[in-house]
Amino acid sequence: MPPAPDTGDGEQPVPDIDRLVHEPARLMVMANLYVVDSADFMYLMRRTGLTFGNLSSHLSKLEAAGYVAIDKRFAGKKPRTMVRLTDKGRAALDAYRQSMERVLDSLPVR
Amino acid sequence: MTEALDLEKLERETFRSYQHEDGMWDVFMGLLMVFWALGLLVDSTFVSLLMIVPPAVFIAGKALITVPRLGRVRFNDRRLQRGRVMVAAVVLSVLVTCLLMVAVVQGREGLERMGDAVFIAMTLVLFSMMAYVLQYWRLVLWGMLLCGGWAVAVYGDRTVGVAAFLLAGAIVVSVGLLSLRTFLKKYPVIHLEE
Repeated sequence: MPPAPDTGDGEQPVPDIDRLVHEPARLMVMANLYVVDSADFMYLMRRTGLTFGNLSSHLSKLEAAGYVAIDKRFAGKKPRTMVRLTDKGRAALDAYRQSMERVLDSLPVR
Repeated sequence: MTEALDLEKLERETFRSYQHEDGMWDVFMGLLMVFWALGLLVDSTFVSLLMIVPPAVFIAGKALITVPRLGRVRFNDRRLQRGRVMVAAVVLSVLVTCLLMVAVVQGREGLERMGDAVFIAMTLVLFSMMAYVLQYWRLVLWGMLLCGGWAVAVYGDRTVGVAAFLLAGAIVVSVGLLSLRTFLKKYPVIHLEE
């Protein structure tokens, strides 16, 4: 991999990192969806500790990127929203893990 | 790879939390032991019908207590595959039990006592398989308690066996209820703004 360009302010940008996945709350949501087939809002709130509003906001961004699919149905009169990580989302998380490994592996050992 | 291990750990923790944290399996097993002991004590159709209570309590508890607090999740294919193996084992056990019962009813000499030993051994195997599938090793201990009491009731002193059975059942139900109490405190109901 070619060395990352110097930004001029002393910071080296981290290459190939998907910022949509890199955000901690979204990373938690994606990791929790990665290990199951699908889950509802309540489950994700419990596992991530996010509020309903926060979770909705993050899921909207992930859905817009095609990383998650949201299926809204009714069970009787009650709404049931199930969220699933798409193949694209699964691939994005795999790619993110590999990128982070490369970045962390390249750090010098003290 | 550390990350892969972490994701596996996350999946395992998720599954265990969803399956066992509420104590429903313990309540189910404990009630099963209590009603089984009552069945050994009182030979009546009514007591046999009471065996419907443990699965009914389990299903209702999961639907009315666990799911509203933890939410719904569908686990991945690997977990579903394990579940299918367990269902197949249960079906096979029931078939073998039915065949044995037919043999016992036909009055073949010596089969009744041997039949009990086979039922006890099969129950222990079934509990071990359930413990493996559900990743809940406490079930092996519950299975040993159940089969131990059963064996004493059938081959030893019936009263001691039934009393041990009842006591073990009461202890298991108590463990389940304590877990349920902790679960209810940890996960109060959240009303979603959907």
